[in-house]
Amino acid sequence: MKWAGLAAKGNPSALHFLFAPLEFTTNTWDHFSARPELFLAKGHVKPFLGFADDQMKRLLGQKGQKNVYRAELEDKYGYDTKYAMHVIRLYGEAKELMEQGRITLPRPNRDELIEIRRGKYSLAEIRELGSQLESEALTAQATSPLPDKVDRDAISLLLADAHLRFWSASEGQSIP
Amino acid sequence: MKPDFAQYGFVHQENLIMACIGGSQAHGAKLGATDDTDWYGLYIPPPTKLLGLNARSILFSRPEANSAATGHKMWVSAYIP
Repeated sequence: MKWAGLAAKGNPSALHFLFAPLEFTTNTWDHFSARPELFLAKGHVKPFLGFADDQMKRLLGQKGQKNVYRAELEDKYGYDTKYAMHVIRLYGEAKELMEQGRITLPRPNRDELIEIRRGKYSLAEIRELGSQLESEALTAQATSPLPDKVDRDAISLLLADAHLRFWSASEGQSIP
Repeated sequence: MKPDFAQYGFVHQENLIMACIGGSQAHGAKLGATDDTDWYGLYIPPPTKLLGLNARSILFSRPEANSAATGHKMWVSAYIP
């Protein structure tokens, strides 16, 4: 699957490319990423909350294998606190995306996320916090500044332009 | 600084157009050196690799590769845009 296809569908990991601090970039990417709003839509709340809900169910042992990754955290805190951090992080990103039309990285509530990792909260409190953030994300969706859906034609034009720009600038890689 | 994905067997190093670190580090929730480092990148293959008869898999992924420089675990994934 192409990255842009994942991003246009609201895949949280793919959308992070548009908002994460860059370790390396080029003119091609700078031009391409200058309009992150092309990849954002109100409908993206669904995959974000879908991922978060699915992970919350696993955390609570309601779906699949419970705490399959980090037995040492379960021994220490009673549940996988790193997994819980990512669940709450996803709900928070869904809310910010709907309210502000962006995802801030690193997360503004990173101190809270680290506290979650360190086991400050009970599993019941994690569930309650997740439920609250989910409700707020859905409320924000109704008044979100984002369009109802992404403009796939505009994304396709941007993709084609990026390829042609890169190939034109890359010696020995262009079509003779 | 441009990351060296080639050390993990990535053959399109010169075609990277961006790279970033994801996961806990990107979220600001990394705890010490206990977490893996999740590298992500995008690359645009040469036309013949993308459009030609011998076009191959376009997703490169090397989970849990060990960095030659640090010995730390790395997850390296590169996608085409």
